[in-house]
Amino acid sequence: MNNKQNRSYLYGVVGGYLLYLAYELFAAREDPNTTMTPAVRWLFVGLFIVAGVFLLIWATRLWIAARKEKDEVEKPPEDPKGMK
Amino acid sequence: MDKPVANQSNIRKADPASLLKKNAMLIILVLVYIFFTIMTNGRMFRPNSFASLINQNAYVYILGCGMLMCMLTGGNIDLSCGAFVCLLGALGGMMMVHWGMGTAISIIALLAIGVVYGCALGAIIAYVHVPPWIATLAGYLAFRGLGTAILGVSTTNSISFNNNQEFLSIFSGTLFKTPEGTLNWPCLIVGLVAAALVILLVFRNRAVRLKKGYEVDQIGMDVAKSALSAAAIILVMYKLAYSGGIPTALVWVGAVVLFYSFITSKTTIGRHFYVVGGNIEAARLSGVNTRRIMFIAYLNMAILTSIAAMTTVSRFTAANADAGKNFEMDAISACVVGGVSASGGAGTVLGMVIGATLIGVINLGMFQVNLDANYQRVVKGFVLLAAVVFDILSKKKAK
Repeated sequence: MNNKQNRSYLYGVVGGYLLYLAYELFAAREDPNTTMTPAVRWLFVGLFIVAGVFLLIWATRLWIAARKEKDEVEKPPEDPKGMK
Repeated sequence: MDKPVANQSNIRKADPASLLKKNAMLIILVLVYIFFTIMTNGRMFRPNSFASLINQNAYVYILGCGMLMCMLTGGNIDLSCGAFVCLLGALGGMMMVHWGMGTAISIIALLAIGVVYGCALGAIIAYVHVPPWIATLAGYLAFRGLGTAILGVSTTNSISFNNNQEFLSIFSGTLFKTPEGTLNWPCLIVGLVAAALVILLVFRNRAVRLKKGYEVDQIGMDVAKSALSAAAIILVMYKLAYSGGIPTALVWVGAVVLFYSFITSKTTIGRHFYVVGGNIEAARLSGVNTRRIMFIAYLNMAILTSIAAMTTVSRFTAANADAGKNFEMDAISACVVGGVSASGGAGTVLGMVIGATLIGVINLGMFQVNLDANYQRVVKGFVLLAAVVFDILSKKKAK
């Protein structure tokens, strides 16, 4: 487990949380006590969805890059003299 | 002991840009506080606001210390702490209210459950090598369901602690209680003593660094740092002195924060957390038992979650199925906003405390200006997003 992978998990969790906040904002649209206008609500829902998806994609790319680095490190070295 | 000697080569030149960057979060905290004080017509500056800030955010400081130790080991997190708070609250309610167990035994039992869970989690992560986010995700999903099932014995799906004054006084009471509005002298004296200790520590630290030949800031900087820190402590304790006394939550938070400050800055094992987070292979080759460090990080987190559960349940005087909701995100936010690196190896308890206080001030300020709960969610989301974007950009810059 390298630090890059862990960082990707953290970014993924934050991205997921932003999507969850977007859902909470959307779910609260029927709340009679709210002072948030529908236009403002949809703006923030949209922003959080975009930010959440962006972070999830970023996290996935970081994870893939971390896996590639790890595989490169673990790859057995090529035999330079071709003795095998 | 040789008298420490300051020569020109030891004295760091004052650099305003670097000073601003180093203390950016602190400056932002002060500005946000001033902003909300103006917006609330001074209500944020009242004694009961200070007490509310501490009582409402005690769990963030406590869980933040645990999350800091996990993140230091390489950006690892614990997603189960919020749900574990719910489960422990339910179990505490069953023990103290339904089964009639004594307060002391119940507290010990809850801490023991935390230890057992921490050992299991630490072993799974450190020795079986299950990724932490998967291991703790299992807890996140399972514990809330379990807690809700336990609370189902009550028709209201919650257990009240109103008859357990002993338990409530330990975790959400007030020390040296006096009527609100009258000056509480013990509280003020504690503040003055704490301020004096901080000043002493700053100059003792300076003397030790000079003696060892390390770089130190200019004397004016240390004077300003100690004076501002002392002033902040005295202000907080002065305000609490008029709010009825010292909240026991502050005692718990203070003890946890001071303990982890000491561990992370003055002990070998504390440095090992940084080393493991910085480069785990180098740490292992240097003789650091990396598996043990990971095990300790998660055991430690579980114990702190037990303490946070007791402070939370005590504050609400009840255990309910919603207890601990999003606590893990609050702890992660406090760490990320406070400058703890998402890759591990960097971050301080003081940074986490500043991050937690900033988020607490924002939450309290929004509540006091009667901001719609939906706008509060928006602000929470943006604060966390800004912290993560800052982390991504600083990583790119470092490359």
